[in-house]
Amino acid sequence: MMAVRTFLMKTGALIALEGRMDAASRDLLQAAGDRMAETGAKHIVVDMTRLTYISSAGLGVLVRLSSILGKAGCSVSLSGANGVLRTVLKITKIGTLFRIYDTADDAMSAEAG
Amino acid sequence: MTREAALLWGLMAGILPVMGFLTALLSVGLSRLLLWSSGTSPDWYGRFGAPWLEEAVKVASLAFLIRPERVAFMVDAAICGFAAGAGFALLENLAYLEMLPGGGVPLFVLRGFGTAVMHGGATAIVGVIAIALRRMGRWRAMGLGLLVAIAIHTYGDAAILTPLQERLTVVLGLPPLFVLIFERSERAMHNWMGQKLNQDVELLDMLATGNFANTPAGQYLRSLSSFPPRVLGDMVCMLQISSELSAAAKGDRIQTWAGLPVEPDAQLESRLVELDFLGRSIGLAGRRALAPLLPLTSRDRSELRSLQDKARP
Repeated sequence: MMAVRTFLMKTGALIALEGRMDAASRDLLQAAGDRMAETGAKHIVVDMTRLTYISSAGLGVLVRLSSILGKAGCSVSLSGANGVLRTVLKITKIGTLFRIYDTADDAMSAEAG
Repeated sequence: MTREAALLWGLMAGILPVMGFLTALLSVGLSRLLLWSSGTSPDWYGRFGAPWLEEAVKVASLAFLIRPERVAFMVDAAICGFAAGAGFALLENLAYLEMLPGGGVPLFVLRGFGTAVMHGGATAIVGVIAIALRRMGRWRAMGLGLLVAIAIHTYGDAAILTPLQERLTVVLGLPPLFVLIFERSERAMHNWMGQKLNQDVELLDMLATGNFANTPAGQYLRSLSSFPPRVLGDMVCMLQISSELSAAAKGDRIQTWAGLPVEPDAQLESRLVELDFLGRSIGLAGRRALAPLLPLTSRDRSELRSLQDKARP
């Protein structure tokens, strides 16, 4: 199961994922992304520090989210992808579609700058 | 109580003999129908026709009982087969008691013991072959086992030897064969626990530390460049879930051996569902390409299922 927490900040919005993003839980991210987009945030960071698993189902949501939000002038970046997540992002080449930061703080400050 | 003993008592006293008994009822009905409709002599049918029908109905019931996700080891399959076969023999002997009065109790006991061992042994062998050769496909392996069982049964019924010689061959020949199977199964269990657990942990460690791409397994995956990147990513995911489940199965087994209760895994079902999703995502070609790396075997799946079934309140 995956838990999703959302934070609205001055510099943008943060979606923190925790647990496993499998085919059954991908809708949670989609819903969180939609909610954050409605706030008018210009940048969304998806933090994966506490995420332990992501398959093509979850990656598909990330890509769709980035594409839809991009058209509305909102960018999406990733942070905290470690271990197997980094391998999956690299091997699927999805990592090339996003700016990836080590931490959510790095992402927020870089995107705000 | 050891695992084998618990299984033995549970199955021997439970559903298997009843199922064998019902199978025998079906077999008797079909035999009478065949004899009546074909006009074959009962003697010829008893020697050469009955083994085919009786073994086929026993194997059909065994195929239901030893579904791959439920039975993992040869010894378990042998116990299932033996109990089902012995249940079958019980009804057969009751029928003989009615059809062939006289001869006294000693003859009935000798005959009953011999047929119980023969029927139980023949069906147990089908179970053992189905598990030992599962790589060739469940139904093919079962078919091969069926042919072996028919051969044993035909030998028992064909009157090539005197009844006493034939019973002695069966009673003395089958038990050592089963001792051999039990020992082999035990070795397979130790190999599964020791060597395979180390491999699972190593793979999980490589995945968790992000070093997977530099390992031989990671390089092998990269060499599959004809697959789309999405499929390659899901192959990594499949390796991750497979090794987690495979290690969990062994962990549960270790706890059971130590006499500790197995904690129900609330995420087991969702992981198995995800595994199915990944299997569909990478397709048949992907599954075949990944097979040499996949740590989760049908043995792991059945161990997990069976231990978790017991752990559920």
